[in-house]
Amino acid sequence: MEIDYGTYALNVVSYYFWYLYDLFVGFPLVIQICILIIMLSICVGIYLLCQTVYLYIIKHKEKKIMDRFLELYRDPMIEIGNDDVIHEPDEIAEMMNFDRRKPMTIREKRLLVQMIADTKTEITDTRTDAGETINRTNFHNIIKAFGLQSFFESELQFSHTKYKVRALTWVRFLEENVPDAVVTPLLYSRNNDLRKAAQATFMWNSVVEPFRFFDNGDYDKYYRDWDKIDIHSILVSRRKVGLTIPNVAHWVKDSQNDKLKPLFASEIRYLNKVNECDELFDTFIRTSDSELKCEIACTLGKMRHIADEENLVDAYKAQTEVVKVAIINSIVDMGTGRQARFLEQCYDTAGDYSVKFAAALALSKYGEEGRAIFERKQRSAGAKYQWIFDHINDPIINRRCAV
Amino acid sequence: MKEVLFDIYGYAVFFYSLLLIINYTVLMFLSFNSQRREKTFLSIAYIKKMLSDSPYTPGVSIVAPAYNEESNIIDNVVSMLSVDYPKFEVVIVNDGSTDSTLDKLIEYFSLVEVPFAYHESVKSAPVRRVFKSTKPIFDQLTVVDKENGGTKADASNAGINAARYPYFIDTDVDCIIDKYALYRLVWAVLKEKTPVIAVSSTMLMVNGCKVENGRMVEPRVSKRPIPLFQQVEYLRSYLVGKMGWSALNAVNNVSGGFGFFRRDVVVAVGGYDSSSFAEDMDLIMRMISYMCELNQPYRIPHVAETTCWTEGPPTLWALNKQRTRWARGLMQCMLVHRKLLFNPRYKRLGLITYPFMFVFEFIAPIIELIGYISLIWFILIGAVNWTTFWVLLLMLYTFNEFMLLVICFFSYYVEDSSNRVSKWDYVWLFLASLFEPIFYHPIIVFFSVKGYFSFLTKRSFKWEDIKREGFGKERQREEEERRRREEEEEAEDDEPEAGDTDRK
Repeated sequence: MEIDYGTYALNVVSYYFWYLYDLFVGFPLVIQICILIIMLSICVGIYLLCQTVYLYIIKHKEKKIMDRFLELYRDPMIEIGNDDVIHEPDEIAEMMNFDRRKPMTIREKRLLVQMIADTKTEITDTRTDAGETINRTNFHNIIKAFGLQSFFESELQFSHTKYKVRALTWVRFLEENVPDAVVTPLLYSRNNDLRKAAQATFMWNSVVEPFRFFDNGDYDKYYRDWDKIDIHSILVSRRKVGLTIPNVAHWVKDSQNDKLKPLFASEIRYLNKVNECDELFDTFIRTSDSELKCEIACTLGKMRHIADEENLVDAYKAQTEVVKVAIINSIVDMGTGRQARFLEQCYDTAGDYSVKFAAALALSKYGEEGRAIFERKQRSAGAKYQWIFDHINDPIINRRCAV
Repeated sequence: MKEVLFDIYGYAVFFYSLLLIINYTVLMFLSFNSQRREKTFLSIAYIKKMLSDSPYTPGVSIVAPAYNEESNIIDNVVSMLSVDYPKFEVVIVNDGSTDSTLDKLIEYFSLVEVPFAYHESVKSAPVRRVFKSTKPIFDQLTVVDKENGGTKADASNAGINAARYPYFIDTDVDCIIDKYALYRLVWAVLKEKTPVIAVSSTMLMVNGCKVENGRMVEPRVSKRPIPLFQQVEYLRSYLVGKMGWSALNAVNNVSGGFGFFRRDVVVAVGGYDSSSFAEDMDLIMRMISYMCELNQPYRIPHVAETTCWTEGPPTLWALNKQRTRWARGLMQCMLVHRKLLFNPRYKRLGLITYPFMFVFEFIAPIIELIGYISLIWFILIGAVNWTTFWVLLLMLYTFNEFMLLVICFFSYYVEDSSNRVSKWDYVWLFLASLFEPIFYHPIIVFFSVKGYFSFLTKRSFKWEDIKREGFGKERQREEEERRRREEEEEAEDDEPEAGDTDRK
């Protein structure tokens, strides 16, 4: 006869519970409450103790597995990642002495992916410092050699939410691809982290309308500052591997979320989309959001969109102090050499120390004419403003500014 | 009549304790929930990679006031400069030190005076000079030399003025910062939908840990009683208290030892109040009040992982100074911000945090002291029901030990392997928690009441720094002791051999 251990344990617990209840039923309320707290503390405490021991065993086991993987695969992986010759998955499996017939547990696969991600980061950092890039195809083949593509798919379909989030992150981090059909069900999950991760992976992964969330407002519902970093990373990764990048200028104008507008305004300059600058100044005039204005001014400057130089100069007076500083910096970035007088006026009329400082700094960088005005201003500056010029002229502080 | 009064008193004390137990239980659940939620997030390696490559990574200034810290200053600044983060600076404020703190900094980091554009956004004592290093590797370091303002708050304000990034960390020079602390804190800011105005994080004792070149090499718990008891106290406060409050967005204080703040909000509320004895709590209350008055959403999360280790008072005398000051500060804060109590305008702060602080933190030492005195009196007059007494004591003890198990579990659950203490350290913590209610807690109660008394009697208070031992000194002493013992044993082993030779 098979014993149902669950029911048995429940019976034992309930027996002792009622036993204790009977034991203390005639006692005062204070004693009864005390006994209840003592019993609960002991029971939950024992459970926690068991959990801690279990956690200790699990962590210990994971450490051992990780150490084994590091010993077996790390060095060959670095070698393959650095190698300019392309290796096929079978060849890689052979090089790593990886037995494909021996099945790996899910935990082992998770740890292996973690190790591959760490190794890839390490190689990328080393090679970036040396001005080189890693062999992406080889890394892709390493994933294939270990059979991890199907693992990603099964994680996304059947695992716990936290592992789904991790798997989605790994897919992007390792620049892998998973079928849209696997990611799509997660795109509208109620869990914010999962939904965000799925949408980000979809944007990285998909070739059919990957950026549709920005059009229909789905992405806007739960916007965090981390999304800026995520979206930028996706756009840069797509460009790096030769996938299409959307035109972002229309989202600067039409996005349903005001927080996304400055992001796209800045993405224009980070992605060097010079031809998308034409409509930016209209948005600059229409919006009252200082952050968006600053980003637009900065983008116009960095993209050297000289057509809008006069417009920015004309708009200067009606702006807040933060936007004024952004316009001054933008004029310097354009570097036409025509606005030295304007920068002088900015310096003379500035009521705020940050604007005065920005104008003086801009003059010092604005060609010969700007430098001449800067020196003139320095000579005429009283004790009140002398520190601005001293600060700008100091080689050590300027070295920091450059950094 | 006497019996009725005794009964009322007894029930009042019992239900107060019961309420405290319920409150801690709820906090434990909330804390566990928060930690589980946090655990679903991404690995630190991923966050590091993303932030390192992004132009949107927010810059962070580490502001650390220093007053007569010649023993630690170099180690600490090195520790701060070796923090792993792509965009940060370190602002050390020499608060008119009378020892060689500034000279040591100048010599070690090759500092020279620079005409820095120092703008006083928040009030502080006059700044004399600003230094920068001539060596490009120390570009991130700025040293502000100012006149002594008498308080840490004043020096921190000078540091805030010199800081150039949108976020700053206010810390002490007796702190060791975790290598990935900034990633953890910035992640806590970036992952939130609501604007984050400050981030609290777990801070533990450096006493007993192995520290090399300003870096934490081996986190351990101290074997000396005072720091060990404080470790238990800190773990409970951060992993149960703050983490639990964080789930409700009702964190009542971001530690002055290591707090992460949004600079513009701090500047808007006028920075630290130099006249406050608990400047950190006062600042948070003003920041929250400011956001509530403007009807702006805000969030103050807590990071469960240890981000900083601080040198706790190693002696009873030093502890007395620290806790008396804290008690004065708490009382001052309660009085200054009394308008918050049950004021719905201040949302959670007015309706949850402040009332809780008033009942369970502010008046708790007074109730406990009355409890101790009345217990002695009841024993003397023979009015104690010993059965009830032992059952009550057993309940409190069991709950205390249960809470220790919870914090050990939380600590093991959240920490990375590099920051986790050894399993024998947990045994030490368990032993400490056994003795804490008998030996340590009554002392803390006494210091708190003493602080209240000195505040009410307006006794003059002098801001003195706790005498520091320096990082890893305890560990160093232990190792020296061990080496000496080994040498002695070796010598003893040698002696019989010599005797044997003689006999031969």
